[in-house]
Amino acid sequence: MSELQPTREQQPAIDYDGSMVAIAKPGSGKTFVLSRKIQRILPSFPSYKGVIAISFTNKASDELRHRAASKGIDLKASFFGTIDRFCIGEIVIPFLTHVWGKPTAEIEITRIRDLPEEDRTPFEILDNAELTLEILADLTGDLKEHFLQGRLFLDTVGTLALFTIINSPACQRYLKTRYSHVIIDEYQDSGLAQHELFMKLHGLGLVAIAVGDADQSIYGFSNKDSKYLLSLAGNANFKAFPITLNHRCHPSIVNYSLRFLNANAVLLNTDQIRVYYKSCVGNVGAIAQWIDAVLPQFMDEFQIEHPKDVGILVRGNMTGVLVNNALAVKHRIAQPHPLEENTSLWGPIFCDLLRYRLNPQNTVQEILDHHNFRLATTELAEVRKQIKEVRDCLNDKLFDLMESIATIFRPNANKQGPVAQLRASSIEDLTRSFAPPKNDEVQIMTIHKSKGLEFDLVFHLDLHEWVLPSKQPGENNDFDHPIYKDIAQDRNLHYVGITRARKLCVLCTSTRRTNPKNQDKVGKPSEFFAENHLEQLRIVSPI
Amino acid sequence: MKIQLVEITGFRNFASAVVNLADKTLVIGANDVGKTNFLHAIRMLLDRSLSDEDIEPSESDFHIALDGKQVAAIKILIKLTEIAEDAVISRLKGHISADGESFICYTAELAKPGYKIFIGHSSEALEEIDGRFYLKHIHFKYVESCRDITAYIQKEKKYLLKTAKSKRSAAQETADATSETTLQKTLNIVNDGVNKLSYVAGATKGINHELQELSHHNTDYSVCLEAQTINFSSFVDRLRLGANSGGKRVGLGGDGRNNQILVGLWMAKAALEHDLENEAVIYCIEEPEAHLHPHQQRKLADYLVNSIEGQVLVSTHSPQIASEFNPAGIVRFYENDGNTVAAGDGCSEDLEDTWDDFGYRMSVLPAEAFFADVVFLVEGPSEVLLYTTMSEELGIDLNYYNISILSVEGIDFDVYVQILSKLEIPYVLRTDNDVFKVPKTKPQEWRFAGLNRALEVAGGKAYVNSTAIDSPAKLSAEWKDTSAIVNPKGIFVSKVDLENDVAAVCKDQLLKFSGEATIPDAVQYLQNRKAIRMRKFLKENPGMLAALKGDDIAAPLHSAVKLARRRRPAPKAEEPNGE
Repeated sequence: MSELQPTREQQPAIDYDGSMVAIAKPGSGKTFVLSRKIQRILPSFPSYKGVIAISFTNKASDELRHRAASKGIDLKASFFGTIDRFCIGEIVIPFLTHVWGKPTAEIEITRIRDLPEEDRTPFEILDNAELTLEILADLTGDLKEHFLQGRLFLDTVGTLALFTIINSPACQRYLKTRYSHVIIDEYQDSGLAQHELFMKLHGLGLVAIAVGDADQSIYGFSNKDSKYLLSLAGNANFKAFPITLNHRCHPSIVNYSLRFLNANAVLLNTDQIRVYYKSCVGNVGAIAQWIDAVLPQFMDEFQIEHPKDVGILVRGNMTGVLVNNALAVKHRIAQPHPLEENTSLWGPIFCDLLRYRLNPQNTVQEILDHHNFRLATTELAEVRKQIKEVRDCLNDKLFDLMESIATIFRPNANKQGPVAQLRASSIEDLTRSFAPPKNDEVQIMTIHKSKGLEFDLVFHLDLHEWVLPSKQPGENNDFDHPIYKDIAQDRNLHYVGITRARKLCVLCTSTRRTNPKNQDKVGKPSEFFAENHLEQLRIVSPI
Repeated sequence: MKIQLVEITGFRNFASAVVNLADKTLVIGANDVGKTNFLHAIRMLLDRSLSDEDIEPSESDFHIALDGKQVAAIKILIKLTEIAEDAVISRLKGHISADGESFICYTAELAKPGYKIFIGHSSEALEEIDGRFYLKHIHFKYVESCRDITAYIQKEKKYLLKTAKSKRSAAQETADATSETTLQKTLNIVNDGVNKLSYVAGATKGINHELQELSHHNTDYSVCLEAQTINFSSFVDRLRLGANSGGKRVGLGGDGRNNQILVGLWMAKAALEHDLENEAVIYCIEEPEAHLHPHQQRKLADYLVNSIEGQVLVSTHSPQIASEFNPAGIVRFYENDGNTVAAGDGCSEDLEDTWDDFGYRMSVLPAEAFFADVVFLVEGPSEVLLYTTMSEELGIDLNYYNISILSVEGIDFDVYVQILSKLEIPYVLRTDNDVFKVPKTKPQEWRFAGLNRALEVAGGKAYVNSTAIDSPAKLSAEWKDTSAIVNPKGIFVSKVDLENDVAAVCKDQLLKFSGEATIPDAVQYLQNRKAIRMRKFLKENPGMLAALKGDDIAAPLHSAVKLARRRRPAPKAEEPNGE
């Protein structure tokens, strides 16, 4: 895509010099616009100046950095990484010492819950509330004491960064001098601290660029909220650039997704409908059998080269497992390994190491970029050496080696959880979770996990009433007045699922379904099918 | 950015020294006192041309005290201030305080190999770093005193050409390319022409004949002389620095001229090489006076002080160079029991205002005083003449003792006293016993200006104005009391003034010299055309002053010698004096 010329919609967003908010629809070339924008900004800079480019995940950041650096662009003093890394490495570690004094021990990143239970009491307030500056003011004494002993809690770095900027003129001067722009991707998933930080940097005079799509907000469960994105869209200081044109999906798929969100959406011209509806008789196993049967024909008809380009997207892990068991065609379930959901400090290190072992494309430097903050040269050399060994070491040496590396990065983090999870896994399990998909394997994964990915053909499952959107009977098991858990987020989830498909999107349902208690139930189609006359925009699968 | 402070502990000559620096700092001190070592200490932290290996400490870097004890550790701490350059701010991140300060520190231990470097936004916040990463945008440009201009230019030539090329406009580039093509053609013609010269072509005929005779293998083989095929780029490579004078090409002249060229080249290179607005550049040049005529020394110093943006550190032995510097910016090193220290901890801002009032009076002569071990301050040139002659006649070698007799051209001793005190240069002082009318007083009041002047410098209590005493001659009691207070501090007051005091002891010679009948007239005669008649008087009466050895007039000279003997013993030839 980087060889493409920008569209008439993308070009103004690339060229605009001021602060802005880009509302980018799925497949509209968001990363393309951002990388082009960065490439436009950097060449006139001296080597010591750069931009701040913050992505939601390390993976997305690596991708953006890679794209921005294409065509030999020198990234100069730019920062690419996640918000946590930025807060820790550029603000808190270098400048909180100006406010609170020098820690007596080397700073180490941990989490509050890694503390012994008796030390956690002051922080209980955070169990039910997001950390704000007001709450921080109450916790300053405790946090400062921990900081001076070398403990910095990942849970607090966003707000601490804000606190540091406000209280350290040296920090403000540094940020203003070193960085010209702050760019935050996936802004719909911004938390309060990130949003305030963004506004603070804008206040310091940096050109501030937010990119996101409120319709793709699917992480509402972790204090992230698309309201911050919407507030920017309504702020006169930020010029809004809608980037709507979906270059990824077939127009009929775009139409379906837009009509789903908005009954009055303007539709694209198309003479073909590539959103199929399929209802199978039986449960999810029947859907799997049907996929086995039709896959060769679909792949042939829509010129899909590899089974890898076919995604079976599910709402919950359980459906994924059922499909995995029932599907005959060669496949891989991207079963989220417990380590991937482990929010301890060692979990992400283990994941990166396993990906490095199983994916020849990954580099040692990426791992250092993600996890190293301030290792001395000698330690750095040692950790490099050990990471290199991860790629080719014998299976029985692997876990010890990984623990040794994690110990170098985060010596005192709580390690029991991640280590237990690692040691409980077989090498086969780990390979299934962390190796890149092979060309001849159909991919099964949750919609959450599919965010940012795309497939030629998507089979969208779990489109049952009660499942998507998720709901529960009302009080006293009142099935007539059910309660939706979070219809807005579920709507976004469906939207994301549909828009993963480039060439064909097959919406699957079945007459029976298996509930979380593993009981066989009558399956009714999802309420989403009936909305906004969507039936006009899909056809029943011809086979 | 500038270096505000350097603290050195245990390094070479320095047991423990605190040295403040100024925007334009002049480093002076005796040979071997450690000027170069001081600059080297700074360079270890700031000069990228010293490699990581170069700054490894060797055993001899650890200070050895007079008692032979060697220190266990070296510590060099530099405080940088006024950091405002974008590149440095970006690079040093949290290591710069809100006030634009940063601290860098080097430590080494005798018992352990290697060294450590620390940096922090305060001296408490120092943290160890792997290497001198901060040097990326800090440039410490150093020129040593033993410099080889030819080698330097040879080394820098390519760089000069390259930078100049990169700064051409598109039009210039095109024009140059066209000229290059034409020049290459011309060179080809020259090559061909030279090869065709009959004696060039014919020179090897004989050799070729012999070759044929030597072996049949050589039948197809011949040798010839040919012009070194010169292509354009090798031509440019051979460019040498030449000089023009009045439009005529001349050979590069003398070491002095070359020295100026070097400094010019050095500055031009720094300007080409660095983004002076956004990067920090500090210039350091050792003994820039080398091989230069005194007049050129002053011009060079003026250039270093007034034309260079940014901090400049200069070491020198030259009063000409020193005369261009504000004394507030002078760091004078001296040895104290085997430990080199900076007088008054180096540069002092307090002196700056004093200097501003005084600046117009600075010349080479007072600057010379900065290099003296003892300074003898007097009011005017007559005193200088008298005491110089007297010291000769008393067999006191002022040069040996490094005593400078300095006229303050009036009575403003306090500025000199401040500067000398700050530079910790011992001084003696002699002033006239002036008594002045206090204007608009009735009854008329008189001020004991001379005595009070001396008391002020000595920190004594001044006399109140008097209505009774109207001349120095009537002040003998007060003069005695004052002398008792100020003499031990090296401060002396005339009984009346220089001429009267001389007249009192050389009555006959003076009457004869002046042709006057009375002493007051003779004194008047001597005073009328001060230094000229004093010179003549001394010349016509050789040996006269030797008799004054024990007189009060000679006391300041003895006092100066006494001070100088703290630094060096009496020379063998000289008889012990004034003990």
